[in-house]
Amino acid sequence: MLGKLFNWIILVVCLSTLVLAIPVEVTREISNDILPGETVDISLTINLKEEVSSVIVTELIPSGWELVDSVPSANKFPDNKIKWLVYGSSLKDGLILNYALKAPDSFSSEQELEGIWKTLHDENFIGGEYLINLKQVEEPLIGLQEDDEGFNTTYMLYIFGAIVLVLLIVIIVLLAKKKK
Amino acid sequence: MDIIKRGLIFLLIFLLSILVVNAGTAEYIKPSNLQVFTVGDLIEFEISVDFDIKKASLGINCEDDFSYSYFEKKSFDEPGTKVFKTTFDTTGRNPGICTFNSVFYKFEGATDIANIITIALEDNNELPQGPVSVVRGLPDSAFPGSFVDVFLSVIPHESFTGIVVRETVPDNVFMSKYGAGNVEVIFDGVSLLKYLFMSANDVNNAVVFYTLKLPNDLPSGSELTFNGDWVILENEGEIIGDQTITIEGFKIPSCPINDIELLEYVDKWSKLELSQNEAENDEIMMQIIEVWKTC
Repeated sequence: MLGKLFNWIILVVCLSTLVLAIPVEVTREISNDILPGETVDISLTINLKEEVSSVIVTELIPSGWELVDSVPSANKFPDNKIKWLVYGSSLKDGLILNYALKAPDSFSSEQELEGIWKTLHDENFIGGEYLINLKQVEEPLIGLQEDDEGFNTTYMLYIFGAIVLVLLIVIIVLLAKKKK
Repeated sequence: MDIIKRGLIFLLIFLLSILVVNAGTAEYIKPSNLQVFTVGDLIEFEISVDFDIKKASLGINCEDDFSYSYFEKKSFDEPGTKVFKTTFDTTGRNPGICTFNSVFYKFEGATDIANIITIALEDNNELPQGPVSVVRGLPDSAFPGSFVDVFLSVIPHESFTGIVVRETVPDNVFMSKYGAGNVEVIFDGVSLLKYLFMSANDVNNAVVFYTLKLPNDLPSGSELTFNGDWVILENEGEIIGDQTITIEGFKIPSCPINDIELLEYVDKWSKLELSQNEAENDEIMMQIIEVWKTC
């Protein structure tokens, strides 16, 4: 029984090693939905599965969008690319690269982001979230909409509720007096 | 004893969960990893995922490339596609080892990245009709002082339980890395590298690689020559494929590289001054850091 279990464990360890062979994973997170002209915060988390000497992370800034901030500071390259070169003591598992983009004054309902990471021996896509969504402007509540005569139905409801409440209190007080 | 059993079961469940979490959902139906193609073949891709694909991108990177080039970017306006199909024409490509990467975008805003797969692209005229082919893949050229990956693709044409591959690296180069997963490998510390492919059933197609560090005083235009052979019971043959690398391009500095010098190189990298070619610029910078780290 124990021998079989050991065999299984060895098999699973071998398989796990195969699956974990990708040396680096970079995952993107996008903070929130935004309106045109607003700024969105984006973070890229580097997870190291193996020891590597350096990683270059490249993000493509969509046309019309503006890089307003980056920590650590990103380097700008032609064709709207920004790159981080991470190496030495700053290259740690879990390192987060942050940047902020300002949206153009108008953009469609969503904007896609794309990027890659590379090491000396490997290269792959940045995973995680990739869509910056246009914030949905909240529809006014139906109760607050004015009708054709310009009369606010919500206020009517408030007044009706207050009358009912006062009536209830009066009834309770009258019933209490009767009992006495 | 009971505690040990429970501990082992816990460990098993833990490892299985790691496996499941890391497996991802994108799976290649075609081609299979380590499949061998010949130049001129149309490689058919079929990748299945467990969600509706909004967009897919596929890239290829062969030995002579500094970076992936993306040969397929396809978007779907409506949900409903769960199997992605495309083709890649290998006509005009150089023989060698190529890797493919792919990413699939979900409608919900997240991505799924498939595992990288490796294929061997061979020149059909070169493959001998023997029991085994071992093909070496080298970049056409390398920077003096750089780290170079050398690929060996092993293709058994018949059933064998053991194949030994013996590779002799050029004089004056340094062996930097030669591990090969579950393949046993022996290096004599000078120039002879031996890979032992063994299996209780049959040895399957396999690709292994080792990394060399070239001296940085190699003159531009000089060539490094590789030799090697394979051995099975009662038969042997030469390693075919690439045999030489031409030395040319940026001279990667040797140790010592102090921090100030490194920062100067980083500054040049950020201004595209190491090379006007962006991918080459990145490659040179990472080569310099690799040397700096070993100083």
